[in-house]
Amino acid sequence: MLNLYGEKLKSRFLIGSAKYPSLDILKNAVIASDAEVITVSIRRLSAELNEKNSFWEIVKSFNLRILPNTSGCYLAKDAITTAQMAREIFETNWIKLEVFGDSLTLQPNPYELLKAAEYLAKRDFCLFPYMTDDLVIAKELVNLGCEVLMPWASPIGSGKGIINPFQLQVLRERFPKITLIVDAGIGAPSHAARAMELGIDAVLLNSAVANAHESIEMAKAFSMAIVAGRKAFCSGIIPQSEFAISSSPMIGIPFQ
Amino acid sequence: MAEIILKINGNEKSFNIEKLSIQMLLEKEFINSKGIALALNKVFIPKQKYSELFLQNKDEIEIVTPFQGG
Repeated sequence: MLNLYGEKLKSRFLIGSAKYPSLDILKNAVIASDAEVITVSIRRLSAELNEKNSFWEIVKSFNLRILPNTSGCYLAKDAITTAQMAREIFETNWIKLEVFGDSLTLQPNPYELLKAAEYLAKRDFCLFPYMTDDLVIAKELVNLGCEVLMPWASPIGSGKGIINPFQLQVLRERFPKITLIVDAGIGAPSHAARAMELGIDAVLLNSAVANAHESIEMAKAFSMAIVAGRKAFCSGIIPQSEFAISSSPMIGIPFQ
Repeated sequence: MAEIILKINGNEKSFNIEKLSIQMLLEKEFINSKGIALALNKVFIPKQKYSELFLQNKDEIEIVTPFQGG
């Protein structure tokens, strides 16, 4: 079971709610994904949203755990205020803490991230910090009380997959009791399976499903890949060898 | 009567009124406080303070609601 701050979940697939062609496709993709956690954001209230927030009405009907984010913030103080507003709206202490440091790569700013994490952790937030795969930042976040870390695979929405699998393995080995969720950069189900094979606990993705030609089918494909990768990790993947090792017995070979 | 100019979600709006609480502002703008959260001058204001906090000229208010996110 996936452990998120004491909450035990069957699914290891966390799904984002943005960029879908329609609310109907969002709904069916979420159902197909088997996800039990959905990410959302908060944005300025418009006249239209004040009239009716169809998105929120449909997301509430899913009865999933809500994981609000602080996406769009570049400063710790803005992320803190956003987290506090999200806690009130969604009635949850969970917060996907995102503090960007670069507008082109959306790479997180480690200094602002740590400042925000320190403040929020002291105020009973359950932090899901979006971070690079840096070991030292991870250590600092764990020292602040984070039970979950969300290292990126590659820049958000890039679809490049895992750029540095070695570093994810390092995080896995150094933090065996911390829940690791790969967040950002996943493009294909094989990327998600690879993350799970490395021992990552779960995968969070959005664009790869929402921007696919067939979002619902892609959600199913990711769901299967994540299950396959987890089963592979738990079953013990054989070590790589430099040379061939015959599968068939080497004794009793005819014509030898 | 005093004029209070506020910036609400980035847009300036003026109110000819002596005192204007956050609760009064929401009522004037027909905003249901149920599905929103609010920050005053970048500081989060919990709902229970809406009636007791009075706005000042040039205050900046952000009113947010659930939205799609990854």
